[in-house]
Amino acid sequence: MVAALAVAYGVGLRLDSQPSSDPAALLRALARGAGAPAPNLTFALGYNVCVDAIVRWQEVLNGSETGAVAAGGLAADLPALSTLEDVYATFVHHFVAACFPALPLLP
Amino acid sequence: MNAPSAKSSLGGNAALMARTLAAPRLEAGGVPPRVLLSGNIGPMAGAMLPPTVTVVPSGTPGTYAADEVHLILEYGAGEALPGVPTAVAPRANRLILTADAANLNVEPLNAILAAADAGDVDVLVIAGLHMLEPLPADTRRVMLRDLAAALRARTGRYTVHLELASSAATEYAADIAAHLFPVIDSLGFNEQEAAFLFEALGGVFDAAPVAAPEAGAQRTGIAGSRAQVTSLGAALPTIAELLRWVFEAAPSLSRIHFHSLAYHVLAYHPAGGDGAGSTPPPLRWRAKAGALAAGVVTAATAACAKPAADLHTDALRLVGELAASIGDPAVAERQPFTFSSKEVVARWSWQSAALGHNVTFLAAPVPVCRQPVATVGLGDAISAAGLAADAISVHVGEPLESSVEHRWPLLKLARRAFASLRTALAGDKQ
Repeated sequence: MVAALAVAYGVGLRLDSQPSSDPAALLRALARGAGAPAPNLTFALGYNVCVDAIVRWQEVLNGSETGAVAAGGLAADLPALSTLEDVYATFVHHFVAACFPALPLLP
Repeated sequence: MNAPSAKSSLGGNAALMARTLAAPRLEAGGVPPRVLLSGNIGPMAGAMLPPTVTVVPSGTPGTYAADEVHLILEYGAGEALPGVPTAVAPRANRLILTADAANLNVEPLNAILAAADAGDVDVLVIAGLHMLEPLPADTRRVMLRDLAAALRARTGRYTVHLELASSAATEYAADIAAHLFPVIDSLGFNEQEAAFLFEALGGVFDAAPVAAPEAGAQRTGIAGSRAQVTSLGAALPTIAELLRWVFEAAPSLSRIHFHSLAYHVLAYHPAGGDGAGSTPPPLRWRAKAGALAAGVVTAATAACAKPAADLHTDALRLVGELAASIGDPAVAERQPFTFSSKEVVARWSWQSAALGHNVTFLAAPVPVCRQPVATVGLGDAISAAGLAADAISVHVGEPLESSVEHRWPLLKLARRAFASLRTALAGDKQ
């Protein structure tokens, strides 16, 4: 019985020691090693606070307009947005280029 | 808003970092830190803040009767624009539209600085400076100069972290670096912000490699390409090259937290030394793999809105390569490294003659959520989780570890033993 347990333990240890490239195994390994905050820490933060109104883009922007901008080569990386056309051009640019800026709307 | 999917949540980089810092993290356990926040907090945002966040008032009470609202347009990976099958989103992401008035006022920064100087604050986090971008350049510059002067005159011993955010004005990014980098300790940014900052500071991609510039000299650029930093197939050596370049451009920095979809990297430099050949000064950070891991785990769990234990293979994917080279591109020898569940964090050092000390890197691949529930605020949550696990209390007398001790842990044991012996001997004498 003891020998069987020892063998099972050895096999388990052996299996456990196999490195895995599975993303879930990597995440579990990282979670095991994730550090906790040191005791008695105090953080002070400033300054931007707001409310995010999060929405699927299709519910705000017209789909065919975005398609027309993309097909017409009108996508552009604009630093500030003054018109609705600016919004479409910038959205399409970042949609395709995988960027994620926060852009000011000019009055 | 008449949009079926519309939902509102707390926003603003400072508020989101405060929320992460104040929340007990199930993955790592431990007690959450005490968190103070000053900002232009309207009634809705105020109600969304965790009760464990202490609001430091600024300005005239009642000034912020209304909330600033940011419109966030989210899209999923693989979505195509109607009628244009080739216009496909390569990753889940969002465009943020802002029209702030209250966040053009940096008075809350003065309030939080005063609170940090008055209290037992360990880390001051500055976030949201990108909101000043619509202001005239001269106005912004005056605000940055005043903030830098206040930080230079601070009476508290706390470390200072600056979280960058997307910017479109290279001149403003250069101004932030010129005024604030000499008076802060730590910097956080993603891959887009990294490339933007690098170029705003005059860095050149695809430059001829420079093996070892003279002490104090600045490399003109890095050998890697922009795509090797910003694309989904990012290359670790190029990311590390860029981070070392930033340290050489801003030698007062001691820590950089880089977070992208493929990899997270924490880089450390023992700032404050007196040049080559001297003993490196103590790091003001724990500089342990646990800080990096805390950020990566937060990225996956926040995006999927599930704890790590509930996330399985079908919910996750890897964007970066597991087989990586972590060698300095300017040096012939490269070290192959393969990430796995047994070695999930790579650690290495590169020499920097310009800095006089090595730059140490910790890197890990990111298990990415296949169907993210949220993309907003992930970078802030990652940076906050990393800071929480990396910060050292400057008030409880916890000894700072030197970078030498990081490389030779036995030295740390010896130092502690020597300190205990000295204390015991001093006690005997009394």
